Amino acid sequence: MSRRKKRHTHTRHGAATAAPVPGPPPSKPRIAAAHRRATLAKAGTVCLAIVGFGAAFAFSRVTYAGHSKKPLHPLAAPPRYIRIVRQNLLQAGIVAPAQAPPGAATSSS
Amino acid sequence: MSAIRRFHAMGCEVLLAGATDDEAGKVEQLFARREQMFSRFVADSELNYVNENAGQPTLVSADFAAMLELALAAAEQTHGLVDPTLGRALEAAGYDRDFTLLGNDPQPAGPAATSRLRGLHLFGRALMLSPDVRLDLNGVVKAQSVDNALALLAGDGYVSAGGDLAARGELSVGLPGGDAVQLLAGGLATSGRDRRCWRRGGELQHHLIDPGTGRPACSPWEQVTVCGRSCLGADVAAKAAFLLGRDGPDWLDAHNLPGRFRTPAGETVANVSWRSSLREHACT
Repeated sequence: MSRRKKRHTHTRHGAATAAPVPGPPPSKPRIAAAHRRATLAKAGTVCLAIVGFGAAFAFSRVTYAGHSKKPLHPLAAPPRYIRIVRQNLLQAGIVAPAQAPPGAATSSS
Repeated sequence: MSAIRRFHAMGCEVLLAGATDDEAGKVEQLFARREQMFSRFVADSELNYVNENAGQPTLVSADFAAMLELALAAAEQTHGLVDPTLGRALEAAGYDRDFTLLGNDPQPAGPAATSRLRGLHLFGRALMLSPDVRLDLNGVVKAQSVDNALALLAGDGYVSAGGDLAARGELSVGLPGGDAVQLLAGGLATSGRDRRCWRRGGELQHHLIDPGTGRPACSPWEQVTVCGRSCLGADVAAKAAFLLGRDGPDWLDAHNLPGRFRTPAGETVANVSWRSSLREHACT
């Protein structure tokens, strides 16, 4: 039975037997304090759950066999190969009108 | 510039100017080492060993792997036109011995062999070739050796191997057909079908293979000369432009590469980049 109902019953019994005895007035500051404690407890529980989840997540990353322990590297050609392939062979040289008799020659080989 | 030295390597005459005795010795060694490693006509070359072991994984030397990487770069940048997997096509066309030994063979050419780039896998020094692949790295080895040889010289000079040329310092260079240009920077290379050609079954064959058909390319050009930042770049671009036929000049222009084309009739066509380079540097 709730506290209010108990108090109500007690008042009716009192009315039949003796003069009503005023009960202690409901303490509003105590109720407010209880609300605050409940709110704090809820917030604490949520925080604990978040921290716990994070810790479990990190722990599983470190220990679970199926998870990578190091940064992942793609399966790709070696960097040296990539560098050379990306090296642009097709860059222009510079020619100008001849200013002297040829000292060398280019021809089919 | 000091006296011009000459020696024979890779089936052509190599000219070297501006080198000290020590540098000249190193250049000769470089060409000899490369020929020993990459020639199809040296029985114990690494290239032949690799080709004989096609179909199984092979560990190649670091130099071989580096050259093959360059060949793959050339293939990628020319969209597969300069292709290192056309050894079988060259053999089918009859180029199966040293060029000096080639004659007019009455036997018809063998079956065409198109590009096998998909059958080549290189991982560091580990090489895996499909059984039907035969490598031919001649498309890059000579020009790269010219660049490497020039790097061995301390001062100004030039290196020319069968017309593939790289220079440090200005150099006046004679062109096919009699013109000349001043090479201010980089290298010049000419590719064509006028020199390395022979007959097989009565048909004219040459060494510039179209990777699409697996046969010597039908091109309107007889010679293509390109000026690149390096001799290798110039040689790769010249081969690609030759194989592209009428599209060659525009393709070179798309890469800002100066190119000069000669037809069998002796007509000369210079692309826009060639003409503008000559015009821009006319007064320098």
